Amino acid sequence: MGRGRPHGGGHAPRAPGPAAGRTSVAGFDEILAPNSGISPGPPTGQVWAVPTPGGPKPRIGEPGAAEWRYQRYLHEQSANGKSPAEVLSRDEWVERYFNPTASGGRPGRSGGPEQVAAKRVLQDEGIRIVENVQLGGRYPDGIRPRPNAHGGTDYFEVGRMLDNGLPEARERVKLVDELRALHPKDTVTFVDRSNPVRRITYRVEDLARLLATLRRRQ
Amino acid sequence: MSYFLRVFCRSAQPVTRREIAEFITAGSFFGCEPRFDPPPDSAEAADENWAALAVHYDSQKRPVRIERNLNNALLQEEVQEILFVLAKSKETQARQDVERVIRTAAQVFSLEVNRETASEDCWEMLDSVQSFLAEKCDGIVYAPDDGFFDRKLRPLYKL
Repeated sequence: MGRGRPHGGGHAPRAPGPAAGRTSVAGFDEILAPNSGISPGPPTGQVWAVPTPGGPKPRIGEPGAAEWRYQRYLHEQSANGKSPAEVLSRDEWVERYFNPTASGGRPGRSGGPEQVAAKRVLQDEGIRIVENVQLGGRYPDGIRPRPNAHGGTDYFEVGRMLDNGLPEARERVKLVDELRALHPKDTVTFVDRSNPVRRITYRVEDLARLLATLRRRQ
Repeated sequence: MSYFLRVFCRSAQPVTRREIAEFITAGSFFGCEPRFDPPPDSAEAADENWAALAVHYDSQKRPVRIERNLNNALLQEEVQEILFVLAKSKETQARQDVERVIRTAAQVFSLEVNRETASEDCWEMLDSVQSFLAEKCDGIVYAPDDGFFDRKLRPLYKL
């Protein structure tokens, strides 16, 4: 990966503002669209370097939103040793990385009230809603804080349940991965997001049965 | 809570995890560089046959999980589930067009995200990846409870 910024997903946000030690912007002007609003500063040396965009990241729809994002792209590319000839033009970058959100219909953003309501039901039952607890490489939605009657752990998933009482296929695949990691005394309960009283609880011994529901069309 | 965006594609053209990871990295979506599992420079990331790619964009949040299914039972099962959902909605030409694409899908990509906790940066990344995959593999986007979208994410049919 590149040298331009830290790894690992959110550990160390980059400080905005001009990059220290910038020595040149050779070729920079050629890759910017006219009147782009990005100011590279004067060329001062031999190495291509682009400063980080100044100020907070504008939201989509706010003035300078595309320019801020494109400048961050240029900064990262230059920090990773890319030459001006190797980076996308502003128009190409915006078409690929900005317009899908700015001009698109934002798939999936709206909605979700059923899942939120189902989550509240679980919380009222004392279930702890979790974000990044792993089970078989997957991430369950909730965990009962105390061991169950057999000394195991109870995990919870909230999702769409079909009319036939099964979780939808994509959820079943997730459940299969989780069941493979369960200890014998553990359980995973799938909760219908539309009607949280509809539930199905799985244990390790249910793995074959669950797998069979995914193989029947083969 | 998991939310599964899908890109149903008429083309079975392979897209490697390395391609997707490099596409995301070049998007500069996040305040720090995302981590991928498998790493994009690994041999397995270049394998055309793969099942899942995890995108760790924030250490405090659930990663985005991208899955690919090619002509398998899960794809067929999902097609039937979506056709069932569509059958309950208003019958229009747009619905028929969407159904035609869904029925003839050769592969599907799923993008799993926690809808309640995903950051706006994450949503921007998801938008771009969906558009990229739909463009590359002749697909349409399905957002459950929302609708269907073309490769530029323009609405095709609202549920």
